[in-house]
Amino acid sequence: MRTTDAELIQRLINSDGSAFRELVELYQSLVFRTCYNLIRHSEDAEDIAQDVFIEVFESVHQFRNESKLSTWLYRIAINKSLNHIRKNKWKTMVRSLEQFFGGDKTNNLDVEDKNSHNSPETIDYRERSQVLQNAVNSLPENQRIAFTLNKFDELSYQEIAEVMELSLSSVESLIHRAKLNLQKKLINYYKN
Amino acid sequence: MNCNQVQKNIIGYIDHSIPEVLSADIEKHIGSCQSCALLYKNISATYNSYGKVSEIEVNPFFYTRLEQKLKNKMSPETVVEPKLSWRLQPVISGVLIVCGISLGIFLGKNLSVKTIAQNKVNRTELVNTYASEFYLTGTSEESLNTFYTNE
Ligand SMILES: [Zn+2]
Repeated sequence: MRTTDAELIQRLINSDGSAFRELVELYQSLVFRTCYNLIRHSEDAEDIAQDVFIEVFESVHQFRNESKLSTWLYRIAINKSLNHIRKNKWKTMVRSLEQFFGGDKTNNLDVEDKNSHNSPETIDYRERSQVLQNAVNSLPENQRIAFTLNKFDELSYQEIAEVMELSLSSVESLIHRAKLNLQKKLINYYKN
Repeated sequence: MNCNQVQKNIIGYIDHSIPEVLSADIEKHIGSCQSCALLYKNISATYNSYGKVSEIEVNPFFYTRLEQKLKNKMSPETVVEPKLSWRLQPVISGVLIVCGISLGIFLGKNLSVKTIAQNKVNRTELVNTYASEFYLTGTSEESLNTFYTNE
């Protein structure tokens, strides 16, 4: 744990008025992006990120100094995001359906027009993101967390192991399996 | 190297996580196979499509909103976000009123029809009873006539 983090935590415990603002300004980007990379909806991610800081504010006394502050924030952000996803499965489904029906035909997995479907020129960036999001969302939860933290939050395997409280080899295995699953899904999508 | 082997290693090739020798073989195959080249283009573009999205900026009012949320949470008397049941109260009341009126109309109609029908039956029965008692029904009149003429 860095000295600045330890000081910040201590000031928070001592009810230093400016400490909370400093903590938020220092870590809002990390927390928001972690939530966003799992939820993929900016308003919801912002809402969850705020809940993360509220939990930090309320339970700062419970913070164990043996882990880094960022590790603790990642854990809370992941748990809250996953809870949000679990609670709002229907909402996510509705959003996917909206994009599915409102968007381009190429987003349709069953589309018959193979030429336009396979042509990179006709599939724009947003649709590709949607395809990847659907594939990532279909991964088992632990694979999804490990893969997201590695690819989108750019955490090292060691950092992921700390956040997820797993061994390094478990993280390696999770990410390897996640990539194989994604590869299978993307090949199926683009070949059919 | 064949198409199947390329597909089995395509993500590893894209994120450079496979041995260089394998990577070189894949590159060679993609250079001569149109179908694998197209698949590589699509998967590579899709697999890397999240990068730009994660550059999304944090809302400049993030802290202000958080502070407000925290204040609301700390002071229970300041309820900015009422409970769902409270927010739904006018809707529920409206629905109940409409249901009540509909039920009233439905019951009113059915009961009045039933009562009129029932009253009709009751009245007919009563008249018949009185009539038979005082020999005023068709059958009783006939039997009375028969009685007198026979006499
Ligand atoms: Zn090929």
